Amino acid sequence: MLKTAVGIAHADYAQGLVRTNPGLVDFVEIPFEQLFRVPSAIEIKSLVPVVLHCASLSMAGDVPPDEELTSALERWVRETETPWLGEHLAYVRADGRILGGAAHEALLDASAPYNVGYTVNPQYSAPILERVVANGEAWSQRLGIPVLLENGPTYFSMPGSTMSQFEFIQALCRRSKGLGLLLDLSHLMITCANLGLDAMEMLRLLPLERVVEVHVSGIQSEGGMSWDDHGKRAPTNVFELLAALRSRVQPRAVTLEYNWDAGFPLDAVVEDVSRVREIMAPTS
Amino acid sequence: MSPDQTQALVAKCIVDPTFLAQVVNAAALAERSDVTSEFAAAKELGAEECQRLQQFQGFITKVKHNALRRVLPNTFRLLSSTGLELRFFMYFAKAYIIARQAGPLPCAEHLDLLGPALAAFLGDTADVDACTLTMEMFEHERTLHDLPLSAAAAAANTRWVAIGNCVVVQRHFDVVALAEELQTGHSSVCPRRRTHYLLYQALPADATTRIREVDMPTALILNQLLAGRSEADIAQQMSATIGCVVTAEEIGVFADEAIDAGIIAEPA
Repeated sequence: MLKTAVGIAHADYAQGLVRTNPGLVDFVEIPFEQLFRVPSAIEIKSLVPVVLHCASLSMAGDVPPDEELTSALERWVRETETPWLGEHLAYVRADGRILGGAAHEALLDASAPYNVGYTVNPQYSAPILERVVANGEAWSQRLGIPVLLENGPTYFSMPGSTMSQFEFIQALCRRSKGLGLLLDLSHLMITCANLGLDAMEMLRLLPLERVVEVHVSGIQSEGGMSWDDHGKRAPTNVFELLAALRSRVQPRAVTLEYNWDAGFPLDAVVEDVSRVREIMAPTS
Repeated sequence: MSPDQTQALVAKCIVDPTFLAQVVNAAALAERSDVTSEFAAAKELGAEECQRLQQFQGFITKVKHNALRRVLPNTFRLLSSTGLELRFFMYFAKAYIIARQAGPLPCAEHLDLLGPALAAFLGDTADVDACTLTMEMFEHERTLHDLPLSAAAAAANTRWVAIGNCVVVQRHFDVVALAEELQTGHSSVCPRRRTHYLLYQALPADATTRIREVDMPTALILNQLLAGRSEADIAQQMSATIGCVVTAEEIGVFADEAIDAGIIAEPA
């Protein structure tokens, strides 16, 4: 019978928690960028399997990662033995030196290309869709493992978009049979809250059979908007979304992302891992 | 604009707070014929999205402070619980991005940059109590971080030396109790206003910082003992500052008690 693995995102407390609570989680998800900076983070693999996450490939952008980053990613894919690579459906870098057709040449300056250092939702348009599909499939082939694309939280509308994020994801799954989804339910909830949409309804519109991994984290309301917050527990409505998803499909993994605050209350982590396990339990 | 140009424009706005502020201002003005880059960007993005981009820039700045949460966990939790976190990081984004252009900031430099910015922001936006409370939490956490790292107090020409690094500070809120409450993950906290004095003592032997509450006269005497003043000087100072009549001999007895309590020691 299929079983969903339940894990946590790597945080300062992860190694201690895993050591003192054997069997609590089935895996720990580590950002590639952390291993790049602090290779010793891999030590946790002696205690529990590791899943690799990434935010550097800039799938929707026009500036690919450099060779150093690429080689390091290949190395960490091998060393972690990750079953897949989760990456954001986003761009991180943009080459601003492209002047043709720009409304004003000073828009694009000598400081380009720009590296935001954070994932930014792309323009949801046909050309970007083609790029994401091509990049996703190329990375999957190069790394020798499935690449999962993660929906980002929507905080602003990218000019020139011709479809919604949901339509983009639907089109992506139609266009590519190989790419899987990493569905971040908190991001979904934030997007719907900020755009005035019904999250349950939007969940039904997504190709859930393509979801391999699910992310769950906290949400903060401030400035009239909802924001991603890995320093807070996931709210009840995110767990309700998880239950709704579970009623339709059984993804391979659910990751609790409580990794922004080194002092995150450990009893809350333990409680929410149990809550996820209950929701995801196989039905007979 | 092509998709890549649009994405580049958004990226430029995020990495260049000065430019984004100019774009937001341009978006708020009526249409103009003199086409500058700010007006062109404002036209492309629209006024509402420009403001949302400023919020997003603040949000990214906040996320890039996650490592600093190890030093200031409760300052950030307090900002979050009072609904000021994002606004602060929107305010701080420009200074932070400029300071970080040459690479990641060393912790002390980062705290030196953040502390005054936080005080200035709270001074403009929060009420006096919220401002005092948050800044006292910042100073409390900064003391806990800095005290074990700072150089030992100079002992030359002083009659007493501190055991470990010590500092005595007046607080108007019970930051120690509040920190415990925030650490347990309570979303609604109840800060207690209470003027009191805390002695922080970094103990190198076990790499901890001990915090003890002391009364006001004790705080004043300890501060002067730690500064290496004589019993007679301290007695005179006590009389001058708080009208407390105390003899040099009594200060000597107090110093012996402080030695017994492991706060100061006579130089070897």
